[in-house]
Amino acid sequence: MSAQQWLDLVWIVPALPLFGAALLLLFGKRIGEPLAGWIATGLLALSFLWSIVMFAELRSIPAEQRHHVLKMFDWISAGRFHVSFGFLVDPLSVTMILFVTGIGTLIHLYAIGYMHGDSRFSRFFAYLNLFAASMLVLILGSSFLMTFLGWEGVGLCSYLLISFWFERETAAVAGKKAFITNRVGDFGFMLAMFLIFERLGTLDYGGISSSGHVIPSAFTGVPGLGSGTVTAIALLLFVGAMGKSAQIGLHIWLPDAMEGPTPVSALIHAATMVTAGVYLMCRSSAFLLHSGDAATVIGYVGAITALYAATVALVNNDIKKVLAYSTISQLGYMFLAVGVGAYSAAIFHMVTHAFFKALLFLGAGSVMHGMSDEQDMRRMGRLRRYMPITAATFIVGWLTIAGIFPLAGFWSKDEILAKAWFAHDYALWGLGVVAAVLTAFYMTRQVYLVFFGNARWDDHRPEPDVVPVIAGASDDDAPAGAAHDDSASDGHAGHGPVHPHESPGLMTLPLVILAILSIFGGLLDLPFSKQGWDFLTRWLEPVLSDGAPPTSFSLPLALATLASVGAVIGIVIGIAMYRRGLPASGEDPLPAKLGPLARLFGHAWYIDEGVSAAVGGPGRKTAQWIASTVDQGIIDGAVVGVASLVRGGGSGLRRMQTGLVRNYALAILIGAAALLLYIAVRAG
Amino acid sequence: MDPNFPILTTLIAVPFVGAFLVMLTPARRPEISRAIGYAVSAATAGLAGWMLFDFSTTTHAMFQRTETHTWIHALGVNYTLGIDGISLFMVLLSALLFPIALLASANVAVRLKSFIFWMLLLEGALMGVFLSLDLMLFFIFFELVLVPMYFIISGWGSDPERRVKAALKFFVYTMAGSAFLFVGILAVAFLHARAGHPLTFDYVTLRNWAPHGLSSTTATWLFVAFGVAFAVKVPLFPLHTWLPDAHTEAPTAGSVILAGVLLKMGAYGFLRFSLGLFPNAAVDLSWLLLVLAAIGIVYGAVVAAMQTDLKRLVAYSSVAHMGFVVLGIFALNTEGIDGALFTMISHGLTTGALFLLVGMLYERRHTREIANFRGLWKSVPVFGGLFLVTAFASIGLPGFSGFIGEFLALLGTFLTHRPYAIVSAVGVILAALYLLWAYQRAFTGEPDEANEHIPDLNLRELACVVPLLALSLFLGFYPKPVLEMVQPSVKTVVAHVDRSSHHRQPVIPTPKAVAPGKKESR
Repeated sequence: MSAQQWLDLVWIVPALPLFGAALLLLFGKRIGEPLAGWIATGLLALSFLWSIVMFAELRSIPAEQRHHVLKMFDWISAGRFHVSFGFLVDPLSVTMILFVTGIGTLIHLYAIGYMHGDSRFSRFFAYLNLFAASMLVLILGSSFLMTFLGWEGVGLCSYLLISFWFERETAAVAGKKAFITNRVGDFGFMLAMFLIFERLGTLDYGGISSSGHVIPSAFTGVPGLGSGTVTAIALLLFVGAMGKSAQIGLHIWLPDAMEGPTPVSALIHAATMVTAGVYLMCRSSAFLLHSGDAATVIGYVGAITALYAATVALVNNDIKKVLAYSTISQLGYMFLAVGVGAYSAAIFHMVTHAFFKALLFLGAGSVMHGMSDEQDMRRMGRLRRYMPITAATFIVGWLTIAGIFPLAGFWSKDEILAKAWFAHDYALWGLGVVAAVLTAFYMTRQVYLVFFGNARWDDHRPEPDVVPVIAGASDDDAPAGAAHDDSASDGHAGHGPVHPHESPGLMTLPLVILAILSIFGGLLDLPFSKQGWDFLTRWLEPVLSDGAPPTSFSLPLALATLASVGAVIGIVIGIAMYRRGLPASGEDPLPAKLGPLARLFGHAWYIDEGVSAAVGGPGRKTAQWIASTVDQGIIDGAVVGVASLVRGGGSGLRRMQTGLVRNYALAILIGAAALLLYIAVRAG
Repeated sequence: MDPNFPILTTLIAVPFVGAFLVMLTPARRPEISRAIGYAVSAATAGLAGWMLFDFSTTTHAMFQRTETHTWIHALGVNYTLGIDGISLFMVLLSALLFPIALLASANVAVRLKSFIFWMLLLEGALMGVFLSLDLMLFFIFFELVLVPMYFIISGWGSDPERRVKAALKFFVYTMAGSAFLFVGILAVAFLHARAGHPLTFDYVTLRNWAPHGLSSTTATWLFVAFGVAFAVKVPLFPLHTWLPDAHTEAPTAGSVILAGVLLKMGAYGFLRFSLGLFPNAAVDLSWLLLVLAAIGIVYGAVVAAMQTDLKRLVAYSSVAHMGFVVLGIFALNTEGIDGALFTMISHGLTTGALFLLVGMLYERRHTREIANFRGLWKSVPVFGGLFLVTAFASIGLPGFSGFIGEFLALLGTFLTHRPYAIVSAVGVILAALYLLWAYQRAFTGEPDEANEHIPDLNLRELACVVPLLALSLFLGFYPKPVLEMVQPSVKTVVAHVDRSSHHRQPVIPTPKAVAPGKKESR
């Protein structure tokens, strides 16, 4: 078979997990635990292997021909609008499917251990497989609309998995919030598609942005695509990306999404789905290249998000929420990269982030697993003695995200910052460096609160002070006396004595693999283009063209050194502050040092609370006013009023209610006949 | 199929004959009328399915399988039937929903014989509405529909006090709209006759004459007269307040048919008669309908979100969905009208399923107040799962039919009237809000005492809902059969409007073709 024929079989990649989802949804109960988990994991592993085949086949053809479209059938064909159900295989999509299926398989494996004993075990894996299939459609889709199909599919799965333990009110609310917030982004995405179709006559990537080289001709071939239109398209797409990738303003759903089981947080809300916005931006780089304004907006939104989320992560006490804000912050870095045109750097950071953030989340899950589902870091400490593998791998994750040489995070973060510098956008670079220092600090705080210092889980339980602790809030919401089953107790603060223990091998094996990937992931794209070691950049080059690499070597080295010094400073301060854990009072020394800022950070800058207050207060009052006063009062009132007027006042209204339909029919017929007569006379 | 077989007459006649047969059965043997109901509605569905395969997309004739017989010669009223891609799917939708509505009414115990009688009468009348090509014949069927629906709501509604009131409101409100239609129809026919032609109510004849035969002022007034009748039926904001009352009080079968088919009579009327007879006025006044449609989409969703009664919520969601239909029609291009038609079909499937499910819930809990439900997903998992799937289908998640329709309707509107499309797209956000919020309140959490021990769906109930959802899913991934079959008819409508008015289609650039598997030239 030729490479093209092999690549025509790319549909197998999403089909395998889709089959798994269908199988488990229909027969999951009968298949049961643990077989359901193994089926789901096995199918995704096969999908990973098939992705490797796709990668190999794509590599075997010359770089400038690596663009293969598989058209399966006409999807929507109406008037001048045609979209086929098709897949696009190119270096970008293959890179994405490799890491999504690879990381996905590891997290599936971990989940077999983590979800052990859950009453809806099979359903969980059905949703996970459905998610993987949707994500793969999102990536492989050959047009904006195909991507949108996957985009909404992952949104659906995110909803289902966040509210997986739907008996818990907070989980159900969080799932709903995630879906609706994402819909706000989808509004932008849809308008962008309308505008693209109006101006270009197609939604296919092939005709729009498949390659950086094709774009200028594609644009010159289309009259009337002014810079304003391009900017509008780019920014509307970015609105969609902001929803999915939780950028500031539309980020409010992601911290709440931590209500979902931890493997979900790792897979969907850290490693894969939330990077879809970054992917969309890279896919649409054709538009960004022609709109400096849009790129600037995206870069700054990303940088501000990176800094914003880092400040919130500083003071949070929930082990998963710190990681959630950290994810928002790291996604901000990726958009920063997009903003300065460093697309392959964004993808590089996306991949390394998937390694280390999945590692950190799974590590957090392992901690919770061994701590009776405790999530408050103030009630942890010294756990390295009890869960050595979790601790060791978590430490690798910590140093990687902090950007310590030579771990993966060092290379990818450094590449972004260097690209920002060479794009002469020093403000972006500065924001990025500050966020990097904060990242190093809050991760150090987390590691020391959890694994080092004094053990605080066997004695008192400090009450939350400045920072609202959202985990465990379900205690208050659950109806009194309602039966709690095991599945609903994930987020509950530990009841009774806690006996920390290491997690089973099924859970620690993925941790070890991810730790290895975090250590060596940097090798994917070293900044030594002369030696040809920038593999990822070269591989993506036919699709995404970053700016020219810097000519000298000394300046990037100086920048990297500077960033590393920043990271070390953050770590040192963190260690100095939390070396011994927390004082006997259980009080975190940080809020006192931050002063009034602690309140601001603790409330996540009041953004979520502000939105909730606006929607729940004036928003709801207005809707209520429309529903009662306008609809029932004015509009329906007018109708009833007219009806009673016709019948000659109040007595008519009463008689209408007695049900004399015939009178009405008669009255109307007489009226109509009179009009008929009138017209007939005039016509005659 | 024998091309001379009067299949369209048969489609109308079979339910009527069935209704007549039911009348002959003894009232103390309700199972006989039930059997007749199933058999007749299934036979009608079979005939409609047969017609689907017989339908040609290559013919140049505007209508297929036409039948004409002189009826009232002196008044120029003929019995003329015909079918095109637009009416085909309305007939199919009706034929599909009636057996399901009857199956869902298995628990109707009182006066079953009359219930079946009215249902079959309703089906026959609806077939007549969609197949008539004579304005007077159309009007008669259009009005005839009201009678069985009135009796179904007032006789088998849930609340004995309110159902009569709601039925009356429905009857009077839509009848008042119809008065305008009646006058409009007479006016068109008489003006045509005054211009020296023989008196006729034949649709095709009038369609070919009216666009140039009427003065623009007259055409505008007549467009308004027709429009009022259709707008009430759709219902278009602000003429919608009969709908929530009628829906809430109607029995499940009534709601399914009301939402699934009756509302489409209005949209069908706009598409067939308003655009066909008064294309100039339609172009001139399209802004008005687009404004009302856009308001309806947002307004219907906002009001739906505030409802405390689950059935009223679904009723208001219909106002929003039908807003997309009107929006697509008055985009006046192929994409928009394709989208409108697709939304009409999809809305029949998904809202039909929602009403079925709400009805099944009512049978179990004897309440529809959202506040009375809690944790249902846990106590009745199959029901909860299906309700969630239906909710997402109704939200218009890609992969379900609703998305195709709304996307095309919005796209078509965007091309010609951008601001209305932008406002209406907000409805996409709001649809998720009201349905998922209601779902969260009623279905998630721990079930309380009242909601804990209720039976899950049985096979009969599954057989009602699952086919609708399966069809919605199928059409979401493979809408091609429908889009292909409606395309010629929709193009005819659009060309007719363009030819008769100053309206022109926007220019869309033709993309450069990229051969699959081939790299574009640099």
